[in-house]
Amino acid sequence: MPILVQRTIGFILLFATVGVLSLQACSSAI
Amino acid sequence: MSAAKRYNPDTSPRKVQWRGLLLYILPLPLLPAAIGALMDGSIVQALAIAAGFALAMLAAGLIRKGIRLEQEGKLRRFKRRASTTPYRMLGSVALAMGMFLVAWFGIPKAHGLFDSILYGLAVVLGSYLYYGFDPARKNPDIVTIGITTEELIELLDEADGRIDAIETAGKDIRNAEFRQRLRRIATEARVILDTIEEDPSDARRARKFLKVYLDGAQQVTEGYARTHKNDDNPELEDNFRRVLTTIETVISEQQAKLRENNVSDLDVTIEVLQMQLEKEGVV
Repeated sequence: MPILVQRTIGFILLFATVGVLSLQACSSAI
Repeated sequence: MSAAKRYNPDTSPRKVQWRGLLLYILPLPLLPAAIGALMDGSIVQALAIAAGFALAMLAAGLIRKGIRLEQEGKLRRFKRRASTTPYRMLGSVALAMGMFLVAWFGIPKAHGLFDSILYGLAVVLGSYLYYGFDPARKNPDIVTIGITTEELIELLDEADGRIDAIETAGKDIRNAEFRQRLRRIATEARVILDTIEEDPSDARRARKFLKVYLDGAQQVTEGYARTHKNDDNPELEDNFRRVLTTIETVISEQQAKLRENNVSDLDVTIEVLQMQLEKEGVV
């Protein structure tokens, strides 16, 4: 797998998960 | 007088490390979320979110440390295991645990146990793909020499700081001969650091030189510069001249020994120098 594709998938997977979960927690608590 | 400055790349401020900064930013909404949950009276939810936030911050620190060590290793041409601690893997696991807690306990009626575990796995996988983990033990590039990049960087940085201090103190000395000799000593000592950087297997052998001996040389020079700014004392000048000669001898011997990969005799020379420094009353 080319390194750029690997990085892009990793970036989306990591930051989408963290971002979505923290925003969900924020919107459900406030 | 010329306004030109001596080129010294070491004095430029350390570059800001952008990589991994998002790890600090993205979990920030968890902070108001925890406060909101606490105000609602949902203690478990608030605790889970707070723990998730703390784990995310810890993870950001660990992962960034792993990245920094790898970058420093590349910068210094080291080709070896960056650290004995797999910082990026530990960080990813911490972040995964944090996100698992947030998903399962932090958001009411949203995710079950299975979903939450999946979120955790997604974090580990994403982190692995994006940041990579530290090289494994079986990596053939990694030469086991009993010192990690982390320790080596620390050792070299410390020695570099001592040489800088010797140079700075040398500038305050009025005697032109001493100033010139100290400049040469600093240059030659840097050659030793370069040798170690190129072949870190020398680091263990040169550890005593880098730690004990350079420290002694720094103290002597600083002490002399401090006390002899204004008054001339021929006797102490002679002492200092003798010490400088010994320092020069040890440095050239250290260079020779590093070439020969044999240090046992040098240790003796260093001890002799130490005794001499104490006898001359300059340390």
